[in-house]
Amino acid sequence: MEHGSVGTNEGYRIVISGNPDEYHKIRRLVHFAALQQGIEEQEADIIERAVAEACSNALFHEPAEKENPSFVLEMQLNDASITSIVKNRGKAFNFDDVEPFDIQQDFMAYKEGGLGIPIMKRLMDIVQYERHDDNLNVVTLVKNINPQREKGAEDDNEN
Amino acid sequence: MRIKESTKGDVTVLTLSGKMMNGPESIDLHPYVKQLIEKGQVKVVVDMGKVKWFSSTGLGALLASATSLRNADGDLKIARATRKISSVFYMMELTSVFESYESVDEAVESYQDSE
Repeated sequence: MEHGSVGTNEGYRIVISGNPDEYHKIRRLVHFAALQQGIEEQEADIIERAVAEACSNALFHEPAEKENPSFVLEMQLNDASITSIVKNRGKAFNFDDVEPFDIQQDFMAYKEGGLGIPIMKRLMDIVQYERHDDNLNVVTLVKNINPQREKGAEDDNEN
Repeated sequence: MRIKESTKGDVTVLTLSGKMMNGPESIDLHPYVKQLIEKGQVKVVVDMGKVKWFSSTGLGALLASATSLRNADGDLKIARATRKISSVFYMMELTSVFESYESVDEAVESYQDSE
């Protein structure tokens, strides 16, 4: 794992093997980074969840015959947002065509599967997918840091 | 993921432990519940106090299980969801789908209250 500059922000970069038993490292890192930015526990849980889903999704799309599946997680941290970028080489995702999951409408008709991407889209403020040359998938997840927290700080300063 | 079954009256308690992640282990729950339905056991409490983590696949297994039980005039209720699990239930508006209780006993008693 590397800590330092990721792009123009402070951040982390970690390479994770495809072993699901290592996912707890990702979750811990994400949770820790979120708390460091002053985010509350519940929201840190949310970010952790969404990023974990992105990582699971990346692994799911690795070619079955690939000997050492792996992917890269980069986190960029600043006062306004936390950005998590998951990169892997593998099959393309059907990302944009996945319908949102409306729990009220879809629950009783639900069979199984297909919740990972709707969860990411529901939990994060921005979710983007890009397919690059050389079979590179890049999923970017952005969570804006609660503006109320900053507004509260501004109100305190005015008083 | 491991499933331990017990009964309290006519309510089946499934105590899950481990991680409900992608892979065959996390999809055991729905087939297990379908077997319960075949035996007429349609009132289920899922004790999640020992679930360390669950992915969307695990969540899907819970939803599918609940759907199957409700289609069989039964139900699935959650007990002892951890903070992380409760956070996601809340954000995904699953609190409107799953009744969640702090203890297994409370979840079991709720079946009697609703009769």
